[in-house]
Amino acid sequence: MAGRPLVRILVAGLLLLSVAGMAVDYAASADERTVYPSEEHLEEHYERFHGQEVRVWLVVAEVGDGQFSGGGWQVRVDPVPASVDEGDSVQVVGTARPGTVIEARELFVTERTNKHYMYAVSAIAVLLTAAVTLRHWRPSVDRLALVPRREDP
Amino acid sequence: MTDLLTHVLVAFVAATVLSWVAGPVTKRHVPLAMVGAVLPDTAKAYLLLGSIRPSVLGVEVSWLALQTLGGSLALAGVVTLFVDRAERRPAAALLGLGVGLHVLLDYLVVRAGGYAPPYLYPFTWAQLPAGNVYLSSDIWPGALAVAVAGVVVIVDRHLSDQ
Repeated sequence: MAGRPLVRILVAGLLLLSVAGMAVDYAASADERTVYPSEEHLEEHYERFHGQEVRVWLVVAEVGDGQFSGGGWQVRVDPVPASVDEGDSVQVVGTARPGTVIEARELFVTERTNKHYMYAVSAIAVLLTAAVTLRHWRPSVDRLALVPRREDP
Repeated sequence: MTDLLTHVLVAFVAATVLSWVAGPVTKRHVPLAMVGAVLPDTAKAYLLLGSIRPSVLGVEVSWLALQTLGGSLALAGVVTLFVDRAERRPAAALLGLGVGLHVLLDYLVVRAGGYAPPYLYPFTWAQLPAGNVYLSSDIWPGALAVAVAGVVVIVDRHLSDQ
């Protein structure tokens, strides 16, 4: 297969087609197959879930007495954890109530600064991986492949 | 997910240790495990593109399929096809190792409600209990991974000098 790049390109195309198929199937089936509905499904059909347990992720826009809001959701929780501040990301599980209200049963807070940290180190990880890979491998246009730069000791 | 740096460093550590004990695995294969560890996070492209479930040519697709075992292994297969023929077998193994470790670490993330996403899709839709060990944005997993990777680099250099 190495000497037949067209065959490799064809097989790669089939694999990518399988990934596309999974992406379509996942979008079509996840809401019925998973414990909690997706947020897209929830936003479109929220009234269907009144009284049921749902899970949402939101960025806190406003913190009030016994509640906070963000992303179109109002979360009731008494008391509001001291760690919840504007700009933080919160994952909430609770009971859906009329008016895009969720009575929280459980929530976890991700501070805004930690989220920035996550994005920054993740970008570093991509650069590190690219650098380490290119240290040991080089792209060969002739062979349409990554080839080792040299024999390892 | 934990932060991507943790994923990549865990793959680096595992692959480097494997290169000490497993003959066919050498230093040049270590970065392939790191590449494998990156593949499930291609799903995070939605952070740049705006929608987690966009419509393509009128068909709804989900980026989240890419963070599953099936989606990531298929991508690993694509990468394997573009590695030098003589290296393809260890490349496939190390890319698969990176993908597997990434999925394993994702099961340890804290989830409100207690269930991890169906990472084993398309093999099963089962949602296993979340490990609830760390938040994706916690700093300590990355710090620990950096420390362990540092030790592994030192030991690796020592072994290379012998």
